[in-house]
Amino acid sequence: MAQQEKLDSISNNLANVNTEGYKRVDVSFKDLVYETLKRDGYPTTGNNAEPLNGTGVKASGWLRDDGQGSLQETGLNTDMAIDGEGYFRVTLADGSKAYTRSGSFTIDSSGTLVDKNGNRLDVEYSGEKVSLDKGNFGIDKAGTITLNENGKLTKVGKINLYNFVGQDSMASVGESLYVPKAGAQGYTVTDSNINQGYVEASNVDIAREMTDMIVTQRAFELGSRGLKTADEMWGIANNLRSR
Amino acid sequence: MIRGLYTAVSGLITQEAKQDVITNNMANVNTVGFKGDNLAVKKFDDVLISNYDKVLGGKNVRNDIGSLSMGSRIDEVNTDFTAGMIQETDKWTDFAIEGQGFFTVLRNDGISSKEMYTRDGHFHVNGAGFLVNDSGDNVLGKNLATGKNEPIYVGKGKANSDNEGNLSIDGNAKYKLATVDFEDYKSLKKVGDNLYEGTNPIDTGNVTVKQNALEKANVNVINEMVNMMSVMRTFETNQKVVQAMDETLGKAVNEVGTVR
Repeated sequence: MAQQEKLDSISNNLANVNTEGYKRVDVSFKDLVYETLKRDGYPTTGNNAEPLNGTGVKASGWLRDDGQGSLQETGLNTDMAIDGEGYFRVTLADGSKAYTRSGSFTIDSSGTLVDKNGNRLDVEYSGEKVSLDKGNFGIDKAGTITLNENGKLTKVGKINLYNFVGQDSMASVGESLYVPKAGAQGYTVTDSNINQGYVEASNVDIAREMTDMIVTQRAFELGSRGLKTADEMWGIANNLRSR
Repeated sequence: MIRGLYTAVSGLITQEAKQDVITNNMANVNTVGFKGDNLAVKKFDDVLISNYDKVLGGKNVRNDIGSLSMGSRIDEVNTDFTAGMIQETDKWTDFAIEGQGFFTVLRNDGISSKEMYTRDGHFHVNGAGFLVNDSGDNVLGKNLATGKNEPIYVGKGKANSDNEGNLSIDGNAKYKLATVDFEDYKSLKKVGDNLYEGTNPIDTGNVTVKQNALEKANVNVINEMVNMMSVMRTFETNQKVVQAMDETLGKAVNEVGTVR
């Protein structure tokens, strides 16, 4: 059962190998509680410490691996990739905030940067909100947006990056978006770079996932072997009387 | 009835228990830092069999026939503490101990907290900024400033560890991973969640800690497979013995004394 969970996580990773800004998930295992073999009817010597036997294995929760994905050049000046930690913050249609690593933005009809699902990217404007179009702005490594109007450069705003303390403080809600869990401590990231014209590829390493899959599948097989043998032994016990 | 029946049954039960242990090892073949168990089986002490069938001078005298073992019984479960293979990962929150030693974690069950020991170095940083294991128990480290063991606080930074487990967080040496060792590994008790309970831990600084690596289970799949096969066959043999005894009993009950 636990191995099944690991297979689930691996197939999830493999499915998202081409998803921008995807972060792979990882599953670890824990052994279950131990029980004594000193049961009624079990012959024991009783002169040593209690013989204990484990009852199996369980999977621990899915943990996101926030390692950096590789940056791919796209040449589109609405694409941004974060080099370092942090997330972009977007405002969803219902007004709530979500965070994403996927920096593949476009410009909607009102001149705002939006992600693929139309969620607006949060930009800290220095003055009035300005409307952008595809060719008239640039973004530097710190996230400052510069508007280029017929050769005249003006700073109009800044894209801030956010992060939360801890590796398990954000929950994935689909569409490459994350929301912080209750009680997560957020902070603003200052030492990461934003690269315009790039997107961040997923950090899934296919070779590694494949090896993991092979190992997990074999472990699964091993589990079913154990089950089969236990079943056979039960059969033998049932056949004590007849032959 | 026939003593052999009970002897064979004791064999059946111990083989069953052995199978339980093997299956547990196989289930945990991918568990980080898992140490395999082995069930030791011992025979019952021999008993001397004697009868009084011999008649000497009109009197029955004691006649020793020989000794007989009454079957097998469970002696103890030994945990094999040899090191598992160390696998490189690329996460800074993964730690592995090379050679002997255990990490110390603080398990809080809501009422009291207790120090427990583990070889599983698959840690992460929780929402409050502390380094915790998969079950959410705080990992303990010796605060280099105060010399006291306390939960390791990482916050939003990253920690770097040298080979001795000295953690520097964002470049400042802050903690040393609290690693312990035990004189008698038999006093360690597995409690699940990859943790051990132990008494009289010895604080030892001489533990080689490897960051960005995890220790795999030390279970040898081929060994376990072979053990399992032999356990099943032994189980089968015992079954046949029981059947043979049963046949003998059947003969004694139904056929002895019948007139044909």
